[in-house]
Amino acid sequence: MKLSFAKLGVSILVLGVGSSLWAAPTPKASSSVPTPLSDWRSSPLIVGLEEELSRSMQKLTLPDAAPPYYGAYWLIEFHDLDLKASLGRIVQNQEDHGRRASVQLRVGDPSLDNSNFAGEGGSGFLASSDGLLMAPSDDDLLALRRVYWLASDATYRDAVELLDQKRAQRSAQVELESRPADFSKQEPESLDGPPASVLPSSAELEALIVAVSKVFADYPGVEDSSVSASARTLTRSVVSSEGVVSREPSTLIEFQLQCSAQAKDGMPLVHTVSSFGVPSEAQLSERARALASGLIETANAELASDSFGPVLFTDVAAAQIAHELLAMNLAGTPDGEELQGPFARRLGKRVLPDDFDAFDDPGLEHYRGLALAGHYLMDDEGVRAQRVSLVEKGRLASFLMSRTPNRVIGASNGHGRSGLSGWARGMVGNLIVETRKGATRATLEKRLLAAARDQRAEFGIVIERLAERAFATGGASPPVPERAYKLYADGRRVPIRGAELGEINVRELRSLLGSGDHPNVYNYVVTWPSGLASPSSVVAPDLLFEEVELTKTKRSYRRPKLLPRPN
Amino acid sequence: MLYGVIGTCSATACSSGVTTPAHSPRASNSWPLAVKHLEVEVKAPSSGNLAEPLLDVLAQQLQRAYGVLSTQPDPLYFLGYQVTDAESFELSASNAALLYDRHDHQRTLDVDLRIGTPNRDQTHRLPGEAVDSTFGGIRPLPLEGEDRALEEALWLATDDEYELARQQWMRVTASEQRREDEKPSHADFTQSKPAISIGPRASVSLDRSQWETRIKALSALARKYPEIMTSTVTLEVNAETRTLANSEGSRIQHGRVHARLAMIASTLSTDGMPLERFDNIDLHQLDSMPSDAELLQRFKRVLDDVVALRNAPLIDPYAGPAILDGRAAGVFFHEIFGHRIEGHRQDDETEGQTFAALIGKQVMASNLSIYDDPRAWRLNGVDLNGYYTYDDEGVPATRASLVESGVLRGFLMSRAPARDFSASNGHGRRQQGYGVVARQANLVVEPATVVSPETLKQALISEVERQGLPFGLRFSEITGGFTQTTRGDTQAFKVMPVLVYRVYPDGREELVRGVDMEGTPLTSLSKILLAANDFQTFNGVCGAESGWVPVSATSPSLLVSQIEVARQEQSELRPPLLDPPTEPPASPVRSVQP
Repeated sequence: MKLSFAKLGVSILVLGVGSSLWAAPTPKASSSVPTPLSDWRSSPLIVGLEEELSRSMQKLTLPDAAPPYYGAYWLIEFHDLDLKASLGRIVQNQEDHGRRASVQLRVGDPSLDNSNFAGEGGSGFLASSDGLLMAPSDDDLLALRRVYWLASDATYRDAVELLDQKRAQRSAQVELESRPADFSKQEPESLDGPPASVLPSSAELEALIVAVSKVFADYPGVEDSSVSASARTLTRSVVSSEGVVSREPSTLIEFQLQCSAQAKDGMPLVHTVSSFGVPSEAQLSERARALASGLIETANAELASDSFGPVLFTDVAAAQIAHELLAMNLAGTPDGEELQGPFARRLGKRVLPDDFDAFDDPGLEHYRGLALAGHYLMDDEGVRAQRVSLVEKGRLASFLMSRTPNRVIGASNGHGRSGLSGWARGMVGNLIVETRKGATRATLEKRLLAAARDQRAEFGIVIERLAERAFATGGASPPVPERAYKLYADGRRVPIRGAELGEINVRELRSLLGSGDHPNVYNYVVTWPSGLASPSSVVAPDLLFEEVELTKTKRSYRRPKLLPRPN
Repeated sequence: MLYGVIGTCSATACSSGVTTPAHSPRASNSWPLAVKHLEVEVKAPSSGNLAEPLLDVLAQQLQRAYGVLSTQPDPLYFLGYQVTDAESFELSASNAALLYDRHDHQRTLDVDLRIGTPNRDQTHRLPGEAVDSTFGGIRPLPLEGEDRALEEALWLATDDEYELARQQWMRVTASEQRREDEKPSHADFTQSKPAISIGPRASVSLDRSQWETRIKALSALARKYPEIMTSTVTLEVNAETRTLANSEGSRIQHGRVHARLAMIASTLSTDGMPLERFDNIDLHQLDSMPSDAELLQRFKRVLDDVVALRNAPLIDPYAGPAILDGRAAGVFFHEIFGHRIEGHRQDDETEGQTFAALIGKQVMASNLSIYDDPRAWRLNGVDLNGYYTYDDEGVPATRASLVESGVLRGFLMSRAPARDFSASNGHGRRQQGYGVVARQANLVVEPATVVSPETLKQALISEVERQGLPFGLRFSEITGGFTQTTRGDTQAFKVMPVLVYRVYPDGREELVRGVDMEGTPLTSLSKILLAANDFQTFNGVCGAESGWVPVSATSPSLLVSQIEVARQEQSELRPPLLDPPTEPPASPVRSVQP
C-alpha cells in the first residue's frame, strides 16, 4: 500500500515504500536513510509551517491582548488498518490515511497563561472540539498553511478569552501562598526519531485473523467471538516558537481476541485479551485457545461469594492492579492549581514496602524480555522523554511531569501526554515496578494460604486477569476479575465467576505481604478524543495483598438463550 | 441537506390556520396560463427472481428461529431479517489539495420481530409514549460468505432481539391488565401480502486517480477567492443492496447506486455572520456526471454566491408577499407539510396531530395536489434521491396521494396503522440500526394550472403594490431547519433561507443576508396564490426517528401572499485577524544546510 504522504517529494521522509526498507531496527546506517534532520528542517513543508507560525506569533493581536508568547504547530501523518474477523470471515476491513493539524498557542506569560483553566471557551469559525483538524494529504503548502491560519485565529481568540476569564477569577480570590507557574521553562531540543517499522499489508493481517478466528469454532460453549487487528503508523512532527523542529514516526500493532459465553444461570461473560506486535499464527491461535478454554471454565465456575481477605494478583492482573493503584496517582500535573490524589503530599514518604523501586522510562522497548508498548522519544509537548525514578526504597521520589509545574517540581520530564486533545498531563509511558525480595509463585501461594488461615478463611483468592476497562473510568465501575480462583490448603484451585473488586486503598500497597520474582506486563492504549492513542505499559511482579474485598456482582442479567445454536 | 423535522402543530393552531386564501390582487386564474411540463419516469424493480444464496440462509435461519420462538409462552408472530450491504468511496479536495480518500464496506443486520398478535403487540404505544424507533445499534455481519459465521450472527441477534421484545411485551401486557376497560383504537401491525422480487446486488467501481485529479482541479478554483474561508469538493459513491426475508414469505433484494458531488464554500461576513452555499449533484450512476466545464461553472456559482452574500446588506424585519423558487418550495413542503403527514404522528399523543382530523377537508389552495412516489426514478430529467421499489418492511412502494385539489386525502403509511388508515403504502423506511417508521421518499407538489416564471414575478410585483410595500422577496435557496413540534412548544417552523432577494416593483433584484423565517406553518400553506411551470428538485438526506434516509422534494416556484421574516441573531464570530497565506514562492526559501 502506497501511503499518501509518500508523494511528499525528495526532501521529506518517505515511509512504507518497499516492504522491507525499514524492517531493520537501525536503518540510519544504510544508504537509504530518511532525509537527515537538517535537510528535513529546511524542506518547503517545514519552512512553510515555520513561516505561518512566525506570522501568527508576531501579528495575531486583539485590542488589549498581546500576541501569543508560545506557539506550536503539529502535523500528524497516519495510516491505519482496522480489521476484524469472526469464525473465518471478515466482518470489518477499514483503511484510513491522511494528515491532521493541531495548533497550540499560549497568551499571557509563563507565570499566568490561558492553560489549565476550565473556563468557557469560545468557538471560532474553525475551532476544533477534539484538538485536531483535517489537513491536506498533498504536500500543497498554500492549502496546508490555510488550515493553520484559520486554526491559529480560532485558537488565539479562545486563548485570549480564557486568559481574561482566568484573570477575573484570580482577582476575586485571596492569594494565600505563591502559585506554581503555568508553563515550565524547557531547553528547546529538536529530535528526529528513527523510521517506523513497516505495517503488515491488509492482506497479511486479514489472512492471519481469518485463520485465528476459526479457532473459536472448536469451542461449542463460546457464543460470539472475534479477532481484531489494528495497525497504525503515525508520524508526529512539530515546529514551535522556541525553535523546536522535531518528528517521531511510530508504529503500533494491536491484536484483540474476544469471546463470550453465557453461564447456565444466564450470566453473560465476555473475555478479552490484547497483544501488541505481530505474533505468528501459531502463537495467536494458542492465545485464542487459552482464552476460549478459560472462558468455558469460567462459565462453568461457581458463583463468587462476598469475601474479605488476602488476594494474590498474578500474571497480567498484577500489572493491572499496579496500574489501577499507581499509574494515575503518579501524575504530577495539578488539577487547576493543586495536585490532587493520595500521593499529592507524600513526596519523600513511604508509598510501597522498603524493597520496592519504581521508575518510568519511555526509552525502553523491552524489559527483561517483555515487549513494552509505551515507548516514545518525544512527548505531546515536544519534550524529550526522560527516565524518572518515581519510588526509591519504597519512598515516593518524583512525579510524572508535563510542562505544567506543581509546587514541588518545576520542569517537565517528558511525560506530557494529551493525544493533542487539550493540555498535556503527566502520564505513564513505561512504568516499571521492581522488588528486591521477590519470591517464587509457590512461596507466594504458601503465604497466601497462611494469611487466609490467620483470618480463618478456608481459601485464598488468586486473580490472574482483570477485565479490560476503558481508560478514565477509574472509580466509575469496579474492576472485574475475569480469571480468578480459590486456592485451598489441599492445593485445589476452584475457579469463580461474578466477582467484583472492592475499592483498594493505595495505603494497602505499604503493607503488601509479598511480591513475585518475575515481571508481568500490562500493555494498554489510552485513546484520546482526537483519535490519537498513547500506548503505555505497566510492569509489576506478582503482588500479595493482605485484605481485599470481593463482592458477588449485583448486576442483573437475562435468562439463558431460548434459541439453540444453528447446526 | 434536508434536516429532518419531527412533528405537527397543535390542534388549536390547526383549526383556525387551514383555509383557502380569502383575497388576492387579481384572481389567480386571471394570469395567463402556461403549459405544464412535469415528466415523471417511474421505474419498476430491475429483476424478478434471481438465485441468491444470502436469501437462502436468511430464509433457513428465519424458519428455524420462528419455529422455536413462535411456540414460547410469549410467542412471536412475525420475524423479519434485513441485510444491508453498503460499500462507499469518498474523495474530498480543498484548495487544489486532496483532503481525504476513504473506502468503506459493511454489511449489517436488522431484525424485526413482533410478540403477541397484530392487534396488540410489543410495539404498542402506551398512553403518553412517543413512537419507539430509537437506534438499536449496528449489528455487523461478515462482509461475504453464507456459512457458519453468518448463521451464528443471525442466531445471536435473533435471541437478543427476542429478549428485548419480550421485555417490551411484558410492559404492554402489565399496562393492559391495569386498564381493562380501554378498547384499542386500531391494530399495531397490518398484514401484507408476501412479495418475491429478487434483483442483482449493486456494485460500483471508481477510477480513484482520475477522480482525484478532477476534484482537485475543481477545488483549485477557490484559490482565486481570498474572501472564502473554507471550501471543499467531495465525491461520494455508494452501492447499497438490501436483502429482506420475513416469516410471511417475502423474499426481496434490491441494489441501488448513488453518486453525489458536493461543492461547499463558506465564509464570515465582516460582522461575523457565517455564510455558506452548497451545490450537490445527486445521480443514479456516476457516469452521468456533468462535464468538468459544467462542474466548474457550478462551483464558480457557489463561490460567487458566497462572496455576493458577504457583501450583501442585512435584511430588516419584513412581512409581505414572496416567491419561493422551486427548490426552496420543495424544502419548505418537505419540512412543514411532509413530516406532518407521516402516519405514525396522527395518533401520537405527544405530537400535535395536525392533520389527524382533516381528512377530506380543504387544507390548502385548490390549485395544488401533492403526492409522494418512491417509484419515481427521474423527474424532468433529474435523478430522484428517494427512489426505491420495496420499502424496509417488504411492502411494494406505491404512489401516496396526499392532497388532491387542496383536499387532504391520505398519509404516508408504514405497516403501523394510524386512525382510519390501516394499509401501508410502502413508505416504511429506516437507516440501518433503527426501527422503521413512515417517511417521505419523493415528494411532488403539482399545481393544476401554472404560469410562466415571468408571470409569477409580475404577479409578485402586483401583490407588492397592492399591499403598498416597497419590495417583495424571492427565496432562491432554503435549507431545512428544525421544528418544535410537541404540544406546548411554540408552533413556529424553522427553515433556513440561504439565498434571498428583494424584488423591487421595477423588477430589480437585490441579494440580502441574515434572513430568518418566522410564522406558523399551516397558515403559510393557505397563502399560496400561484405556481409557475418551472419544476425544480431538491435532492437530500432527511433525518428523523428512523435515521437518515435519501429523499427528494419537487415543486414549482410558488407565490405566497405573505411570509414573515426577521433578522438572524448576531454571531460572536469574527473574520480572521490575518489575511490568508499567499501563494508560496516557486523555489524553496532556504537552501539545504549540510
